[in-house]
This record gives sequence, C-alpha cells and structure tokens, in this order.
Amino acid sequence: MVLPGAELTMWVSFGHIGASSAAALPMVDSKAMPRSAIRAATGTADASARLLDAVMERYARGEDGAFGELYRHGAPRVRGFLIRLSGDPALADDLTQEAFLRVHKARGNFQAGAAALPWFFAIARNAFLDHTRYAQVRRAVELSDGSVSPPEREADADTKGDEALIARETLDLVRATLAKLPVFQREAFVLLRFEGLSVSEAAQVLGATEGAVKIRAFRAYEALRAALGQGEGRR
Amino acid sequence: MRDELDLDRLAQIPDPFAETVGPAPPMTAPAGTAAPTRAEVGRRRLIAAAAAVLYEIAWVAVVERRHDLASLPASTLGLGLLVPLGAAVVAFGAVSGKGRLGLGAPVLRLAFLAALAPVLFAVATVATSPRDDDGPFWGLAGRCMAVTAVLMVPPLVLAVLAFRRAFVTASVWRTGALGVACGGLAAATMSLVCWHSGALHVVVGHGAMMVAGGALGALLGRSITRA
Repeated sequence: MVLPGAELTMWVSFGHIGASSAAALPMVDSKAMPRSAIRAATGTADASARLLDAVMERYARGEDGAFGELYRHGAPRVRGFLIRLSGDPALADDLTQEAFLRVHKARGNFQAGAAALPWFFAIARNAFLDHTRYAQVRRAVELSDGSVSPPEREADADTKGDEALIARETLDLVRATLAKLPVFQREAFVLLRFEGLSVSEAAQVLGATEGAVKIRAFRAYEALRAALGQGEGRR
Repeated sequence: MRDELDLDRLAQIPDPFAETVGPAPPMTAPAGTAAPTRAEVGRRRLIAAAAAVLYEIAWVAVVERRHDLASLPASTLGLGLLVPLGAAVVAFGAVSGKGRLGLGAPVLRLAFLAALAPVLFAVATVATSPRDDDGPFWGLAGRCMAVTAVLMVPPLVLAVLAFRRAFVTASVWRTGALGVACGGLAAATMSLVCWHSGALHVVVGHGAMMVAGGALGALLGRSITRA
C-alpha cells in the first residue's frame, strides 16, 4: 500500500496541471512544496486576508455598500473551497451564493477583530452540509457521477509522451477518491491541503479538536495515497 | 507514531480542481433581506437579557416568593443567588468566548465549561446547604422542577432569538451552553421562590433544569442560532 517515494513524486509533479498543454504546466515537487509553503501562498494572514477582514468589519458595522467588495474578494476563495468539498462546480456556485446570503444575514454576529475567511469557510461548510442533508445524499456525499467512476484508459500508459494523460488520470483518481471519503475527512483534508489553513484554524472552522482534524486529514491522505498506488499498479 | 502524522506529506496529493477554481458568478447585494448590524445585534442582546431578568423579577414580585424572604439572612440569600448565577456565568462565558479567530471558544473548552457549570452548582450547593429534611422528596422536587422550567424557558427563547445566526461552528454545544446558563438564572430565581434549602432538593429540584435547559437548547435551539 505504501508508495515508493519516486513514483509518488512523479504523480505530484502534475499537481497544478493547466488546461492548455502539459508542457506549459508549472511543476510541483512534493518535497519543495511543504504545507508551510502552501500557507505562505494561500494562508489567511496575507494581505488579501487582511483586506477581507477590513471589508467585513465595515460590512458588520452596517456599511451596505461593502457587500460588493466583500463578494469580489471573498467569493473566489469560498467557491474554491466548495468545489473541492462538493466536487461539483455548478453546485459550488449555488452554495457560494447561499453562503454569502448567510454572511449577509449573520453580519451583525461577526466579532470585531475576527478573521473573515475562516468565518466564511465555516458558513460555507454549513451551507454544504445543509444541502447534502436536505438532498438526502449524505449517505456517501459523493461527487457528481462522472467523477466517481474510475477514469477510462484512453491510451496505453507505456506510450512515450503520455504524461499529460497520466496526469489527467491521476487527477481524476484523486477526485474520485476524495468523493468517496467521509465528509469529515474530506473537509479536514481540503482545508489543510488546499486552503492553506493551519491545524488550529481548520479545527476552529470545523468545530473540532486539533487532534481530530489531524487524524481526519491524515486518514484522507492515506486513502488518497493508497488509491494512487493502486492506480499506478494498474498502469 | 507522531511522525506518521506529518502533515507536510499532504502536499504530495495534487489538486484535482486547480483548473476549475476561478471567479465566482456575480451576485447582487441582498438588499431585500433584513440583516442587523453588529450594533443592532448588541442592542437586541441587551434587551433580551433585560427582558429575561425582568421576567424573573416579575415572577418573584407578582406570582410567587418564599414566605421567609424578608427575614432571610443576607448570607443565605446571597449564597442562594450566587451559586446558580456563578454556574450561569461559567456557561455563558463558554458561549460568549471569542476564540482566536473570532469563531467562538474552541469546542473542547466549550464542552468542558458547559458540562462544568451544573457540576459546579451541584458541588457548591452540597457544600453549603443543610441536609434535607425527612419527608416526601419527589413531590416537592417535582413541583420545583416544574416551576424552574417555567422560569427557564422564556429566557431561553429570548436568548436563542438574541443569538440568532450567531454560531458558525459547534452550534449544538454553544446553544446547549446557552440553555445551561438560562437554567442557572432560573435556579437563582428559585432560591427566592422556594423555601426548601435541603442540598439534594436544591440540586435536583432547582438544578436539574440547567441540564434540561442545555438539552433543550442543543436540540431545539441550534437550528435558529446556527449561521
């Protein structure tokens, strides 16, 4: 089940695959991209997060005109979080709007000096959980049907110049495995891996203990790593 | 074992949605939906707190009070009020805790304080109250539980409405702690209503509603207080 490091590094190198061509892809090396680096790039303590905090502060005080700015700065991050959580961009769009409607209604409860983005994430998570509950799909909370089934092999992986296809299959496999994970593991993993939150921040967003968040995220990681190992075995 | 939870390894998993993430579709400002500002929320909470206290005072003034209230020693009166109110303050402290990110107190501390409040009340009551008199226990305790419930529910309703959409995480625990606090307030009022001062009677007859208020808040209130 445990992947050899070299194979894993190859998969990871397609981490941020672009839509145009594999040659133009920015390569991501797992060893060169620890969580601290992700946090530096996407963390909540950066300038944009501080700007968001300031705009939310104005909105909580009653400056209605700040909503547009708040949405412009906050919605892309919330949408990204919801896409990764739900696996469905269309649903994420709807839930982003729902989340910001909730932000609007709850603005008076936003505490002075609080961090806006974790507050948004927590509200977005509530919107997602409510959606899955009401839609009665909570039993698995799977991603949209196409992404759940294992990706079709379109060509022989042994063929030279096939890296883009392998990368695509890898991403499909990650997406499918994420969909099969229990939502509590998935949300912890998404917040830590993709949204750049610290364990402490993720624990507060999820209303869980830091230990629980760590274990959930790591179990998700182990499931993903095992799936990638099996995928490689098939090739 | 700790090394196995090295979270830097999470970065080995590629982001399958990196190319999907982008700007959100436009959204118009929800102008038609009423949304109180922070100042209005603060005002509503003050009004709710004042109304809850007034309700308790009105009950004692108009409906029922212990026959020996006027002749009660100040220490007995003070202890009867301070012990349940102290427990209520502990529970309310858990609710109003801001937390490092402003999302509220961490869930472990919240759960600990919410559970601690009734325990503190029980321990302090047993330590400071006389033994129960011989005689019927459950009849008196049951009546006091009913009166305490009547004293607890309206403040809880007010509190839940005042904290509408206030809790983004752990709303069950936070609303439960709110219920415990309201139970503490009702238990304090009961010290002005009921003349039975036996420890077990006070713990069960007056204090049980702290637990019941917590359960009621957690089960019924959370859908209102959750953002």
